Amino acid sequence: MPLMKAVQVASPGAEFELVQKEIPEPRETEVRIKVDA
Amino acid sequence: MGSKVSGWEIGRRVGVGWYGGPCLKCDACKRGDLSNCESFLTTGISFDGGYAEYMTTPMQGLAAMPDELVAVEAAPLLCAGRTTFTALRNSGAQGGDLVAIQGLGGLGHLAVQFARKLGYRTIAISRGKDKEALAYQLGAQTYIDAESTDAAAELKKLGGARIILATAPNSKAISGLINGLCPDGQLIIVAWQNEPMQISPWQLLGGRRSVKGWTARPARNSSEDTLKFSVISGIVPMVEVFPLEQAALAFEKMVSSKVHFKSVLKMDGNA
Repeated sequence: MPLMKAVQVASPGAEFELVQKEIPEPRETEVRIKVDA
Repeated sequence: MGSKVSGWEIGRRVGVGWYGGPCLKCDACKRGDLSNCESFLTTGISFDGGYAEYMTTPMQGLAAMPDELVAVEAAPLLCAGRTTFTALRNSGAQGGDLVAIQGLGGLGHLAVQFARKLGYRTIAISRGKDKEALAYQLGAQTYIDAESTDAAAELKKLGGARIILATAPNSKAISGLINGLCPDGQLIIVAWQNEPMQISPWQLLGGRRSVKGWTARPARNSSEDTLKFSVISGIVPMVEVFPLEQAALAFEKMVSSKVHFKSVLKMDGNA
């Protein structure tokens, strides 16, 4: 699966971290958006 | 796109704010009252949001993005903008009515622009002199310094406000404004806070004043109308743009109210 950059906070109070995540797949009634801002 | 998505085509520019769509399961939704959905979806809480290069979102939360708007300026319109614009245009205030905007931050700096462009006599209320010039620049016709004057008394001198839109989360300051309403005037709350407000029954009975909260929900008539009105009227949010890598800084400046006036994350690789 292709990867994307994302920022996440893994648990409450944790630091922001830049991670690589799988690009999400939309479910039946969802769309996938390429985020601009 | 998911197999059951309709009304959208691949490649379309869209926007999604904190509002992610109605649940379509609760009693309010089943009654067709999507605005009062009891468990509406929230971007970043119900599903992963825009702190990433890609996100997935329910089609019900989508707003068509006008070509005239660039993403960094459209982003705050899908949250602070839609909230303040729909609060004002649904308030019952008519052109020429006196409308006061309390607070000149992320919500307030947009609310002042909307109020003026909607044709209201627009009053901005903030603390100190620092934001006076900005208030006039945004379209306010009168600025009230709530630090050196009694803002409610100043509003009374002007005839009393038909609507006071409270955008800064300061319960004490907001409570103090109620006497600045004209008869049948309404104080509308759009800023989130837990601290109780102190308003006595006689303040409401005298002049039949009221207090209400406002949140904007369905995407089509909130987000899209806000975007369209902003294009027509030249409403532009003031933003500080950060790359995704500086999300922590952008977030910190937002929660400490140090940002002027909205933190926006911009993905690189997108012109």
